[in-house]
Amino acid sequence: MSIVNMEKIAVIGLNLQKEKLISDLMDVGMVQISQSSKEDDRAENKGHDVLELSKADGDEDYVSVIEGEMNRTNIALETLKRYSTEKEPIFFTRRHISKSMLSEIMEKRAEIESDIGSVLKLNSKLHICNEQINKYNGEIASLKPWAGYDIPLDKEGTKNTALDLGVIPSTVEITGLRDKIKAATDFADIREINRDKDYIYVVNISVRDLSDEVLTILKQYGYNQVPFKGFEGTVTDNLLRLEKEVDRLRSERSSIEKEISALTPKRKGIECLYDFLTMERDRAHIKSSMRRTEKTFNFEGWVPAPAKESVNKILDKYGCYYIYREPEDGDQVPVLVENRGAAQPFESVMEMYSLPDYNGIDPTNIFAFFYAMFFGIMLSDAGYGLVISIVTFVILKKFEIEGSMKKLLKMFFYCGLSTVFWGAMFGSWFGDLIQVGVKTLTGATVTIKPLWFNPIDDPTRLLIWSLGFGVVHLFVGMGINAYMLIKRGKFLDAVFDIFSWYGVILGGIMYLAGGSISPMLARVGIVIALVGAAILLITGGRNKKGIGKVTGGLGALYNVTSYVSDILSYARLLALGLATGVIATVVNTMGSLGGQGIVSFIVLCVVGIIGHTFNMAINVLGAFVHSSRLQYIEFFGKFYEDGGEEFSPFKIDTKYIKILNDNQEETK
Amino acid sequence: MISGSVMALFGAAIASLAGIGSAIGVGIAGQAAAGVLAEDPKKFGKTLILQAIPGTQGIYGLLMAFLIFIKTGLMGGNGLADLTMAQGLYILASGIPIGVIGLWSGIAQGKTAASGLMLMGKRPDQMVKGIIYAAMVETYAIFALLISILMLFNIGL
Repeated sequence: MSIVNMEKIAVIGLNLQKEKLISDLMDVGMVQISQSSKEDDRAENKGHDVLELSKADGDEDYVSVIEGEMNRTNIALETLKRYSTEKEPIFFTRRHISKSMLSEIMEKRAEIESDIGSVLKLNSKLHICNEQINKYNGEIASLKPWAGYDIPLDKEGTKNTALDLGVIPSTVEITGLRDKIKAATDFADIREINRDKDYIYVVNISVRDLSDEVLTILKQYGYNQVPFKGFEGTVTDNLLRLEKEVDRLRSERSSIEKEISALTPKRKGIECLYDFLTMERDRAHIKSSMRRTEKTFNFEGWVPAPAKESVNKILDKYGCYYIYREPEDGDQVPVLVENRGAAQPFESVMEMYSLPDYNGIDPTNIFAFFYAMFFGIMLSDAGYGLVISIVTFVILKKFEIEGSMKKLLKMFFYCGLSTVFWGAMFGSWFGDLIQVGVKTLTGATVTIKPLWFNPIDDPTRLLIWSLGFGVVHLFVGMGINAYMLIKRGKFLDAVFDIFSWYGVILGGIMYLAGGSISPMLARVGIVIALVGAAILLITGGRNKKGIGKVTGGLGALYNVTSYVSDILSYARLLALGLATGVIATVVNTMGSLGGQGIVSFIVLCVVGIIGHTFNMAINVLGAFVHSSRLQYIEFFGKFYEDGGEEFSPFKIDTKYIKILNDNQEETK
Repeated sequence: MISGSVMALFGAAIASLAGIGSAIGVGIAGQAAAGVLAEDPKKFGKTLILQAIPGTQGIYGLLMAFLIFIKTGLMGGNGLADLTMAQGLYILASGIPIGVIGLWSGIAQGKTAASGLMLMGKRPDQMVKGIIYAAMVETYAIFALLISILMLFNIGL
């Protein structure tokens, strides 16, 4: 319904104008330029010698140069962000900057680049600092156990004695080892310096000539030498020195961090440069989708029909030759959906599923209503609805949120309104908080009458209504399918496959439920249902051969199970609605256990805030998920043709700034 | 002394068993969530949503237990109503569907949510589909809750 018509465009222009044309096309952002691959060209231009004349355009080397620069900029931005002392806003919004402002900023590009350079330099200093701290800390850890050893570490013995440090596993009996050495020679000894869970730290002294022999004995006990190469002085001296060094490095690190955070104000300029580079990159990159000859270039692409005029204006301005054609069979047409008004934000529900096929249908207008309604019934509390609507409204007013986030927030705003409506119908305002609150404070009893009825008094009634809403929802979905079949000239298919089901389901309901109103209704109902069933039985196998003609009808009729389960699925409207209401009531009951008075009123407030926040969070999630599910499985299952590819035009795709035309207002 | 009222309370106790399923389910999903987070700590909020999904069975069990409390007068402040043995057994029976089905569906949903988390770890844009897969399991817990509620409310007490 609201899938925008696309047309394929082919353009030929002069290379002289190419840069300016690309820049203007980017500003308009309404042309999706298709990738030109040689295979396509071969197929399309069979027998022509276009290929010999033209070659793929674009300079990927230049693109990667820019990407390298973007990468540097990005590292600088991330470093600044990490050490910035400024508070990050809760919602990220892009700054608005006019074109002339941006080019003014870009005049100081050299300055910005030197800022980036200094940030990166500080960043690498920081890295070196951290590495060194790690190294020294490692050395401290390995020296610590030896703190009791007071001979300088660079001393490896005297002329005739050898000194050797090492560890043996703590399971070894040290006296036994000693005896063993004593038995071998008198001119050696080991001494324990320290021990911990795993090791005994020992120093081994022996006559130099015998040191190899002693080592062999020690090795049998798992002795491992621990050489301290490059150290001078005693262990304690070294520990002191290293700890001092680490302290010095730590203070150096924090001063570097301070220096970085002092550069925070430069962030804005760097962000502008990043986005400027992004645009430059995109403009360079798009050329690889084009082809060129010596003097001319050409490209193909998709343009939404409503945007043709503004695109033509640009193409005419640069003297391009262009031609449009309607999409043909086999074209992979990109899909752009467009809705207006309150239904528009609900597009995001559909986008989360999958975009419709170009030849399919965009049901946003229809399911938006049902989505909000089901969300409202499942959340079913006017207080919660108010909170959602107010919070989303304030966020939308206060922050300039863009894109899918904005859609989602708007959607929740409408869903909140629907929740207020249904909550009032069921008489639930934060459960029975108002009644309980007044009673705790004054002892008086107030009643808030539901506009319709309270589901907890009569759940069966709401169950029937829920299933009824479900039947309507399903019928609408089937109706869309019938509409599409008829539009495509398959009127009989619509009668056989859809209207017959209307008969079966409606007739069945009349037969089951109408009996209590009038026996006549039940009798009419059974006739309608039987006629519907007969049509299904006869026509179900119409596209099959031989025995399939019979079994096909039976198979079609067997589908009744899937319709029954679809309808029953809407029982969740009742169950989730009850869950919210009852838990909310329980929260209030728990809060009011203190009896009457000011103190217990305060207790009620505290318990209420915690309890209702929890209950609301979990039930909003439930309502969101299950309302989506009812659309995806039950509703879309009846008609939706998905698999459309999103229309992704060549446009300004910046991260930090939003570029405005010079006549638009800008924010600081 | 076993009276009808005691039987009714047994019903509430059985209903609350659904919490076991949720506890296990949320646990399984939580393990997967931690794995996803190890790769990208920014996904904390999103993993929390998927982890919370198997938690609903416990809430349904709690809900059913409270409904039984209200029905038997335990919550009204007037003390337990005097129930006959038959009435007590009716109420006990009404607690069974959500207790038993909630227990198993919670575990199954936890496993599905864990897979959904893995999916999200690799393709964050597909997260909603992971949620929907997990929500498919929940349908049966909802049906069980519905059966429990309808049993309780149509006893005619």
